[in-house]
Amino acid sequence: MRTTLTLLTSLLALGCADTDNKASDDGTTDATTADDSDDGGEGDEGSGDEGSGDEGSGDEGSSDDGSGGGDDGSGDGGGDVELSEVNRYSTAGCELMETDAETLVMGASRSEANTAVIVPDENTAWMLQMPATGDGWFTVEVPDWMTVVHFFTEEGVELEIMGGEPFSEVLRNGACPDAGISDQRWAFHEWGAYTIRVSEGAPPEVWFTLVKED
Amino acid sequence: MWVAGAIGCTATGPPDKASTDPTHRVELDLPAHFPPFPYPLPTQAEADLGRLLFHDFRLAVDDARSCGICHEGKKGYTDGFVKAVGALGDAHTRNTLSLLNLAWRGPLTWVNPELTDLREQMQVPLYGEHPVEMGTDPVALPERLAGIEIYPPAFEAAYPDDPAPISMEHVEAALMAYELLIVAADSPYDRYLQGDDHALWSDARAGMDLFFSERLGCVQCHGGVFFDLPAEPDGTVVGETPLYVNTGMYNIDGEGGLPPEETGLHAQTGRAADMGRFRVPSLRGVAETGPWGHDGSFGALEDILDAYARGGRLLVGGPWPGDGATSPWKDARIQGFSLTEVERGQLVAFLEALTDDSANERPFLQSPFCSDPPDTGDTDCIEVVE
Repeated sequence: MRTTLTLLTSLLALGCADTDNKASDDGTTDATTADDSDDGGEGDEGSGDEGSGDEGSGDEGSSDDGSGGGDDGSGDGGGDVELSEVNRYSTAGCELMETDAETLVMGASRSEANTAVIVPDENTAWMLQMPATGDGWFTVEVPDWMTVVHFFTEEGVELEIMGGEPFSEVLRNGACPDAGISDQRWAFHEWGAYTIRVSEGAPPEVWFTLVKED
Repeated sequence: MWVAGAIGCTATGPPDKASTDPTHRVELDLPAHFPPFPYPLPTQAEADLGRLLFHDFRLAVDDARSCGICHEGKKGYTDGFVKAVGALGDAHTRNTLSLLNLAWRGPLTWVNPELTDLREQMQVPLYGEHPVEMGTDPVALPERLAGIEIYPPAFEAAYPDDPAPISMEHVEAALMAYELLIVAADSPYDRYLQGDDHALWSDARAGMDLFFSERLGCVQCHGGVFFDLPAEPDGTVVGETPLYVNTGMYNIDGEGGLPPEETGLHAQTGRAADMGRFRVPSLRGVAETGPWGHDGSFGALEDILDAYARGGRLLVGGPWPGDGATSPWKDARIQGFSLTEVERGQLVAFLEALTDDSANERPFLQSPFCSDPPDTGDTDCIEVVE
């Protein structure tokens, strides 16, 4: 836990949790130019190094100096969108696409969010079903202090996470850039239950999973 | 060196007093409207040992939990989860109950009226495997504690007549001694009962009148000093044990069903009529203990009041839709009532006035350790070293 705290503190000092750089509203498919990037891309794309074990090589620090690594979208399959850096968490998110997703019907209001609860377990993906009308609501239990959780869902689907703070923009998952899933990292200082809203207009079923960093 | 102190339970009572005499017994200064403390008061040394153990992550598998992290003072001695999550990540099926005023609790869990012995109950979170809560190893732990500098003298002081004091029996005894001292008796409502007319602000006072009104009938279930015994509208308690009530939270398929992982007293008895019956919890500190309900499915006090007002909860979406108001197993006392927006706010204000802030702030109830959350801000704390 102390290690996590140190890591989180370091990352915050590096500006990785810059809330001003919070994702664009549409799920980031049009996200940004190179010079406002401080988190994605780096030199990973193009190498096709999915799951190449590059954690520890600056993959979490993202100590990007603002150059953005020239990630102008010329990488593999990225178009002009930013890719998240490849590490074992983004890779795990891709691998969970291969599993059978569990169905979870979301609540129809915030007051129903706690009837649809997800606990991260690194082995499960969910097919979230939207209610008949309106936004979908569910709750994620974050079972650790000072931790970062990667939220993976379909590009274009907007998750509003209530509590904690953004730790990255909403990016295309760089570990499987052609899969059409986003990678959004969120920092939680305190364990507990956090409500998530999926905006009305999302597909009737939304693929979703999450991976908590060690 | 950290020195614990005795606790005082009222704002005007004695503050935490330093004590270096391990045979000194803890003193409790309870208000007159509280029943007597139902256990022999522990020695200061045993309570001090209990404090160490309660807040020590090393009691759990992988050093992943302490009692105090899942029963955190600022959360009303609960954990803030919808349903608890164990040391190995196991998801539980129920919401964590508060430890506030445990000494007077009676039945200790949501569903088992027979489980009133705290030592017996404690063994579930310590050693239970389905699910794992703390994952404590009862064989390895005493040996480990013997190798941690602070513990041998603490056990010897607590149990001076035992030549081998470091044992799981004494771990449990010390934890129990400490947990029983988590007393909340100095809320604004308590001060009001003691004659302080200004202790309750106007909304809270209006909410109190509503709470005790025949129209709402809250005290049919939430009566007595701890708001968990059946009572008449005038407050007269009419039962000695808490009720087990189906409040109309669920009605799956129109047959009164509940999510299958937790069906309440029904799981103990197998009787259909016990479907969805759960222990009526105390309301002391309730504003701090959310989420609420046996499964934490209420995210706001207002949502609970709305459900009671309509005579049961309506779930439109989610995995378990249904109208609890029409559940065939709903308790007859849940009839619904009219409630304006203003009145709802007043009721919440009254519930907030049942919080004793000092129960979270007394130094004796803080973690003595420096590094682990919740951060105590205590500069005289113990570094975790072995």
